[in-house]
Amino acid sequence: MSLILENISKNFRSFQAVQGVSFTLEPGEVVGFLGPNGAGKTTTMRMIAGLIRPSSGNIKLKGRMSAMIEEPSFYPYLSGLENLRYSASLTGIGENAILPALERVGLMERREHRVSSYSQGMRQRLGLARTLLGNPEVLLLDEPTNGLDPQGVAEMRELIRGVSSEGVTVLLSSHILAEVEKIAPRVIIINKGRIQADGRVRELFSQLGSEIISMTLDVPADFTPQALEMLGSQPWVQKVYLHPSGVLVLNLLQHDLDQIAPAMVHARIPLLGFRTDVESLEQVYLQAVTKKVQA
Amino acid sequence: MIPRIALAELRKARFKKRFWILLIIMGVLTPLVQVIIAYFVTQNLSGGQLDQGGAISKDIAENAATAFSLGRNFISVGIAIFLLPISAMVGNYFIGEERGFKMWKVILVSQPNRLNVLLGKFLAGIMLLAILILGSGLGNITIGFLANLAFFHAPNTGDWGTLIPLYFLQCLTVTAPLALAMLLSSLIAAPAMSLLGTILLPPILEGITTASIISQLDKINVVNAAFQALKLKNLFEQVPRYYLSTNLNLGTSFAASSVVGGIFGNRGAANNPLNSILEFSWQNTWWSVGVCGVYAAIFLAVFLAMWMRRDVLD
Repeated sequence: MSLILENISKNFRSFQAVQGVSFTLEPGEVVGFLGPNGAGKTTTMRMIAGLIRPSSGNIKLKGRMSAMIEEPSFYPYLSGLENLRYSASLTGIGENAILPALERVGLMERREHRVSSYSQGMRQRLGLARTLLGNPEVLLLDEPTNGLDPQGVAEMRELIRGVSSEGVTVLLSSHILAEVEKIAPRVIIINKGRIQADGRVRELFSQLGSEIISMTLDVPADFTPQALEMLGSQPWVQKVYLHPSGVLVLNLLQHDLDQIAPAMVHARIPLLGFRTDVESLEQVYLQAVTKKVQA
Repeated sequence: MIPRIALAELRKARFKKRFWILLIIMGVLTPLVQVIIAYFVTQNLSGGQLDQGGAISKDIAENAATAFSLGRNFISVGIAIFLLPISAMVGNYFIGEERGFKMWKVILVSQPNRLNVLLGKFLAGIMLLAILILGSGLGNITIGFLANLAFFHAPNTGDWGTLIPLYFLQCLTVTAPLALAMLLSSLIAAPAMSLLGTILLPPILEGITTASIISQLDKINVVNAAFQALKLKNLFEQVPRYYLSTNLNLGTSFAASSVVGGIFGNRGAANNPLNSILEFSWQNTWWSVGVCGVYAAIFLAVFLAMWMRRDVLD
């Protein structure tokens, strides 16, 4: 085991930010840590990183841990190289680890430039370079793809895959579910301070996904606004939006599936075609965060 | 571990212009101004109204700009202006800046442990202050030596055996305002307020303490007048011995006794009426170092205790 959380709780005065969170991460595992804003993700990560003291519970960490919590911070008047040099000295990591880390994130050319001149994406990559210094066994990454362009996101994904293949355990928090789905075979979903789901996406879908499903409806272009308005007003529709390809995508409970056809007929909207989508992390996530939290 | 962290902090501080500017002001500009004044005084004395006795006035002006004089002036008068502000700046830099740049969440991650990081920062603060004080002193002495060589040709003599240790001991007394600055920077989010707090809080609290002691004295009447006078004398002589401000600057009495000794011809002799007040003694110097050490230990203990329990949320 690389990291074990045993019944961790954190109270800020009367507010319970995290309640009884427990999970275990195995060496080399990449785990997505998901939840809406204010769910307790960052508080949990800060507790693991030693920045916040848990009100109760235990955290057991095996090996060296490195963390990038929320947006990466630096001394803006120092260069990227000097920032890493400072962090390396602080943690007793040799100077020879700095250049390979910069090389790995593609910042060698800008290493002598002040961080104040870096773009958000470059800061994000420098933050990752800092976490990779000294080959940590556990990596905590909070929104590592924030501010990255599509190419940067793909590079970050490969980087995370790379470190994972070297046996590094990664706990990855992100709001980009499609991205998490590509990197993390296992996800932990937290809401209102409690773990709502923990497992592989497909396993979770079979446990939770039976209720919420995602559907794609194809209607003539002339009827799209009318269909969007009609479906949006239905209480049984969880979410509906127009996909750039021109089709309507909606989330609804499975037992409401048979309400679609009568509604379309009643609104006199022709239906050219429809399909239910395969299970996705988004469905699992929505199901997990919308289910009632037991007190 | 702690020295390594301190060195990392010092390497970072070398990129801050403010410390270089301070070093230039204290170690270069301050002695240069004294040399320029001494130079113009000696140039204009001859035949002027100021030249009462000729050689004596010229002697004083020349001797004011020797290596020893500039070194002594700085540790006594010059540094007195800077001690609290530079301590406040250094303390605020090592603690307040982390808050400003949201760096606590980076440097307080489990390894290295929090206590080591904080003690490393404190050690770095002492080292930076020592560099500023000793560097400025060296600047003053060097400029005095060069100016004397070029213009005045006065003997570079003086009580170097006292002056040099004073510089090193001065680096110990600033640990108290440094620890106070670090504590206030941790408590107060606004850097300007924590800077002002470090500079103004000690004299304000000491003034309040003195006023409260005075207010507790009985009203003076015919019977107790003598006792009250003794109490007052005791108050003004004894109570400030425990204040931070009065113990902070070690060089004051050294310079004063040196000047008074010059006037009366024999420092420490019985014919010097100001001897009891202004005499320099190692006993008083070590007392001051001890008092500042106690203040530093108290402030540092509160600072560390506060951080060990603190959640890093920003």
